[in-house]
Amino acid sequence: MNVLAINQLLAAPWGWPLLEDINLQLGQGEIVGIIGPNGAGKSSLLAAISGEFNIAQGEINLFDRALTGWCNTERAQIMAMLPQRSQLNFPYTVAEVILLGRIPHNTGVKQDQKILLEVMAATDTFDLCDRIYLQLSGGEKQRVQLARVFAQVWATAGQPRLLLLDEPSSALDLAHQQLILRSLRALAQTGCSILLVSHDFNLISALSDRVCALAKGKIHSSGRPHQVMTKEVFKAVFNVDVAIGTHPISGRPQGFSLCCD
Amino acid sequence: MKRLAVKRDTQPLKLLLLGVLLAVVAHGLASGAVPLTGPQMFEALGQLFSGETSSQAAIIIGQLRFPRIMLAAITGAILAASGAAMQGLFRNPLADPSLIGVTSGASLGASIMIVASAGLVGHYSELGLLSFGAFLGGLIAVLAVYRLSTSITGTSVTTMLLSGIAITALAGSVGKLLEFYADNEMLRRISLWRMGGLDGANYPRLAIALLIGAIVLTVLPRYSTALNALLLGESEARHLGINVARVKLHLILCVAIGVGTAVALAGTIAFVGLVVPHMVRMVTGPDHRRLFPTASLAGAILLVFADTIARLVVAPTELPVGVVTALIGVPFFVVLLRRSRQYGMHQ
Repeated sequence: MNVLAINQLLAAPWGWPLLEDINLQLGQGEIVGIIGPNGAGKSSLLAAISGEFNIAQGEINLFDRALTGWCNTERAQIMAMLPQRSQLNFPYTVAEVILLGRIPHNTGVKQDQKILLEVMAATDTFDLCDRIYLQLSGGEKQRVQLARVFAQVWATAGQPRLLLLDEPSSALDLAHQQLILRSLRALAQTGCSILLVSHDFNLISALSDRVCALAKGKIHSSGRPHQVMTKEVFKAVFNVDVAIGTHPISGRPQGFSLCCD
Repeated sequence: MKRLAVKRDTQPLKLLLLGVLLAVVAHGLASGAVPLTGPQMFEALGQLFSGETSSQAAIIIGQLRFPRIMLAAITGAILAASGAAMQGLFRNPLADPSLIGVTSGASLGASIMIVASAGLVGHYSELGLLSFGAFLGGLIAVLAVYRLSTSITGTSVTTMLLSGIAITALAGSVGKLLEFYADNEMLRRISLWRMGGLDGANYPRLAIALLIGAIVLTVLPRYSTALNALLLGESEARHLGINVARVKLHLILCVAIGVGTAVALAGTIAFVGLVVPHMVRMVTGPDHRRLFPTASLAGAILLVFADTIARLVVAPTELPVGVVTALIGVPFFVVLLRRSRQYGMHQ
């Protein structure tokens, strides 16, 4: 069973097509990375999957059921989404923000507390838990928001879930990038599929089972990281010349330094 | 292990507020143009309960002060809870019924009803019509402000405040037009009603206030979790399984009923809906499950106390209670604006 299956998707919420001819499948526990230039439709793709706007043509199926056939709460129990920016304006504590992720579940205070501790460990937010969210730094806020969506799809059993992440590591330092990388891998191993949009190519390369390169609303190429993250694809999609190395242990592409003249 | 501040316990706060409310109610019952001592007041209350209503103190309390103080308490609670709901809905701590035009819309709606209902003076149905007019006016105003200030990218504070100003100005000029065409009798009643605040309290008014207060104060807290999620943003709330469109509609209706009724029964009272949720939020945090009950109690306290002051300072005449709440509210509002960075309103 596919966790997510997108067939021939055409989305044009403002009249012109933002996404065209998109086909994408995601299996249980699979991690797929999406790369592409600004305005390529990466965030629009996540928005379409999370039901933010109606699609013009094609279909999006979540667990073999059309996206529109899900009721809000049911869908929120198995799919979470981390947006690029947070608009939170009120002085919640960090623990309160994270626990908002448990709203769809109704699992009781005890279970929520247990999950709170686990997701705080997975995002290194334990020391922040009493702090006011508004007073945190950008990277700290990002980790707290991550912990919130983790809490929403956290489960020890192998039930399939889907996590959509839009730039989850843009404000993180190296140590926390590594932590998030490990936490995402661990989460995928519990059966949670992850769709990840990022400009952090090292993260995408290290984490993804498959990579999709988007350009102008269409999928330019998709496949294993070493098949997609190549000089040729980067030239075609981003219009830049890059030098790409190989990770000494995993053999995955890494480095991605610009060739300056 | 480190303490997890997951659930701030508000039980002691609620009990404290309840105690303070009883104290200000007792103080309000005893004070006025004819001051009563504590024992006199309790004696009069005892007489009232046993059906003995002939003594002077019993008449003052039973006919004047008791309905008035109860009306103040209920109105304060409705306004504070409505303010808390609107601040959550607009995701902005500045949203207040009087600031974004809802109060003036409700006021205009009531004026129109006064003109339309000429001949039903002092009747139950007149009060009902007034409340209905205020509700409709408030509803149209809040819908207009919400429509104008909300786009796909969220709710803009600037547009919200500007549309509030526009609605207030529009309601004001339509009100003036109405006065232009009204006859003398209607004019007198409109202006009386405008000035009139809690001093018009009587048992019919109290009955309507109790009914609407019970509805508003039970319905609003049901949306606590939805409002908690909405503070994250509308799409985030949707991702958390909240039916945002339905929640918005219900909250707007509920606030319009609450504020409309408050305006119809007690006139326009500024700043209670703004100040009270803020003060309470500083103690309880933004979680609406704790905010609604405590803000309602605090709103009742503030309005009962402000009304007592309004009756006392220039006794035997009195100030409109809105003057007192504004005197308390404006300095607070200024401090709030000065500290707005902390509230994250610097975008």
